[in-house]
Order: sequence, then structure tokens, then C-alpha cells
Amino acid sequence: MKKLIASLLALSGAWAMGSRAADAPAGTVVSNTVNMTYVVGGIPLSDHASANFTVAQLVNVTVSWQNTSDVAVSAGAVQQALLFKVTNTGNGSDSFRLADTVVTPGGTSFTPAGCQIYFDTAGTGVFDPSDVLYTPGSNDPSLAQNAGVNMLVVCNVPNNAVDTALGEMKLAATSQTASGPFGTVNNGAGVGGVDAVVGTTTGVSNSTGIYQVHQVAFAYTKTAVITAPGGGHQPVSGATIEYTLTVTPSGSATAGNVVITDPVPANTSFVTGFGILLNGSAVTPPTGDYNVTTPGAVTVKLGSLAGSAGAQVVQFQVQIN
Amino acid sequence: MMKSIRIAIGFALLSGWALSAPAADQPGHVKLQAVGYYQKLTVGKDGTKHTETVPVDHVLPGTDVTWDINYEIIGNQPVTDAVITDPVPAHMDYVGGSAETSKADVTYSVDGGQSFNTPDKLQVKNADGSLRAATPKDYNVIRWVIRGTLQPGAKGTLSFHAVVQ
Repeated sequence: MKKLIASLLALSGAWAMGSRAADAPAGTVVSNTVNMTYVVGGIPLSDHASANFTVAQLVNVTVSWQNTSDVAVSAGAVQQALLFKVTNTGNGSDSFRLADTVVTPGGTSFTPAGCQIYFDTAGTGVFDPSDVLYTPGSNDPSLAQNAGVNMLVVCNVPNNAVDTALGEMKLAATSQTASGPFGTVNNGAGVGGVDAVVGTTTGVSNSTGIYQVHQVAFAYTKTAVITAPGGGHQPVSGATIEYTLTVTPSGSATAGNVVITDPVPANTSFVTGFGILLNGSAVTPPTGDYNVTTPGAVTVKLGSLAGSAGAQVVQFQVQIN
Repeated sequence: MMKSIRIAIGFALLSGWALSAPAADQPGHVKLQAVGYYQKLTVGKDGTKHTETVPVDHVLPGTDVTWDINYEIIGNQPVTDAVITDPVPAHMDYVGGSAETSKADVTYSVDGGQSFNTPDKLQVKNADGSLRAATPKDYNVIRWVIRGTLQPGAKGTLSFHAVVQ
């Protein structure tokens, strides 16, 4: 029995070291025993007395948004997650009722839609099909002292959300043991029937997470200049047509794997001697090719293209048969 | 049958004694008592805050508890060499200086009562084995050596503060 107690103490010691603070757990009986030794008529005697009390439950909770920066989303995206952590910062087990609300930020904003709260069951910090839906009053997270749980607020982004618009969601957690002004006592409501007292967090905590729309759009123009063999601009047989394709990205996102494909018109031939120019410089496979990536077409692979990259100009020539 | 009745009576007596134990025991010479109390903050419905001194019952982490140790010479013979020791309760941190009194020489132990010394001489080991000066949180036993002889009828109170972890 003694061994068992010793190992339990060792465990609790390790646990206390690992926790945020070594708050005495609710329900702990703290005992004070005083001893007195003295001498009466040459005879040594001793005496003792003791008193004790029980540690009450301090109710505290902390909600904190976990994403390190605004969560990038695009218009029309579904099931986009904000990651929050709910931590029981009190000194006894407690369960927490969660609620999410839309916050309207200043400036350009959008309203997250169809929001639901999920447990981050898969542990990825983003929404996964295996994440368990939270239903208030049904599966309120129950947390031991200093324990935390990761929760996701999962929303859809409206189709009309514009680039750089912000969307904000607040997640609030309320102790089911006690809440109200600091110092409010809920007699006997704590673990093991001890009194529960509302701590500095008032038994309620909330945190706001932020989405930001990041997308990229492309403007596209194509011009043709005809040069006839005699020097005129008539589209006669043997005339050369020089095409200039201009792709201009805009927006705060970066598009990946951008490819420009332009078919060479019927009854014309690609001018190999001119080749393909990208921003004035000749490009060769794999960046640019004719009739390799796409039969009968000019293909230029721009790769990743930021909205801020500026106009991308592709030039090539064909000759009218 | 007889045996089981005796056991039942034994338990009843024992639990009755345990209930009254916090008050004192009575060897006939000294009455000793430990009492804990604290300043309880209450918030009225109108938000006003006031404090009252209440006995310890259900106490929150962070609470500063005052422990009073009351002694009274109830016999008719003088008492000498009175020494009171009180281990700082588990889950509590001693508040530095709070046990000091002019009635007794106060020393502290950082090794569970094997040795006692004044604060300026107490040291504890760091994790790497080096020594550092002890802080009040390191004290785990308080000892008061009461000065002089306590005459019949004499009474006094020693006290200290400790904060609930």
C-alpha cells in the first residue's frame, strides 16, 4: 500500500511539473498538524492538534485562436476551418458549452456562412471528414485541470467575397460548473461536491479567428499585326502574322501552374525562325513549345504567378499558307 | 456475534473522537489547538466587494490562509522547554516572515524537520547539485522554541501564513 501511495505521489509530482501551474486540485484535503513537546516536573511530554480544509474549485477557461496568421480562403470555398484551443485553466474537471458568432470587422469584409463547430478529431487543424460535429449540450467538451481540446469553426465563404476581404468568427466557451462575475460561488457544484467559485475569466472566454480572401484574376488580350511580302498589311498568302498575347494577373494570391495555350490558325504555319518570346526573351521546351505539349498550338508554362507579377507578354509568328 | 458488536462500538467511539480532534486533546497539562482562517472576498449583487474573516472550509488556490496555534497551560504545574513544530501543509507555500514572534525563537527546516535554522543560513540544492539560499517556499517545517517557563493559566497564540497552491 505504501508503495502504491509513493508511486501515486511521484505521478502527481510529474504531472504538476508538466502543467501550466501547480494549482492544488479541487477537492484536495489540506491538513495542518501541529506538535508540541514540553517538560512538566522533569517529565518530557508531547501533544498535537490538527485542522484541515478542502480546496474549492476555481473555475477558469481560456479560448485562444491557434492559426498563426489569417486563414487564406477563396470566394465560394466550403468547409474552411479556423482552429481554436479551449483550455480548462481552473483546478478541477469542468465541461464547457461552446458557441460561435459572426464578427463584422471594419473595412472590406464578408460574412462566413453555414458555420458549424467541430472537434479537430483528425488533429490536422483543418476540416477533415472524420472530425466530429459539436452539438451544444450533447457533447460539450469535458476537460481535466489544465487540459485543452482543439476545436474547429468551419464555415463557407460566399461566392461574392472579394479579394482581401476579411471574415471573422468568435468562439466562446462557458463553464458548465459556474459562470458569472469574478467571485460568484456555486455552492457544492464543484468536483466531489466542493464549492465552485468563478475565477478571473468569469467562467467564460472567447477568441476571434480571421479568414482572408486571397485570389488572383487574369486579364487577357491578343493582338495581331500582319506584314505582307510587299510591305503592306493585307492577309495574303505568304504574309506574316505576329501575335502578341498579354496576360495580366491581379489580386493578393499566387496562382500555380499557369499555362497559356494558343492554337495556330488553320491555313497558317508556325514560324520556327521567330520562335516564341516571353517578355521579349526566347523560350524553349519545357517552358515554351509549338506542337509538343498541345498539337497545333503554342504552349507557354508560366508556373507560379503572383497577382503582383505584372503583365506577361508572349509573342510568336505564323505565315499564311 | 459479540465480536462484531464490539468492533462496531469501537468504530463509533473512534469516529466520535476524530470529529472532535481538531479542537484539542487533553493530556492534562496543555490544551493545544490549530485554527485556520482567511479573508474571504464576497461580491454583492450590486457589485460591491467586501472581505470578512472566515474559518477555512472550502478554500481556493491562491488564498492566503492564517494558521493560528493556540496553547493554554491547563494543569497546575509550570511547563518548561515548550517547543512547537508545524509542518507547512502539503499544497501550501509558507509566507516569508509570517511566523516570526517575540514569544519564541523561530527556525525553519528545508529537509522535512531533520535540521532547523534561521532563514539566513538555510540552503537547498539545485538540480545540478549546487547550493542556493532557500526561499520561504522551500520551508517545510516551522519550529517555535518558546522562551521561558509557562505558568499555569498561561496562554498564547503562534501563527503563520501559507498560500494555497
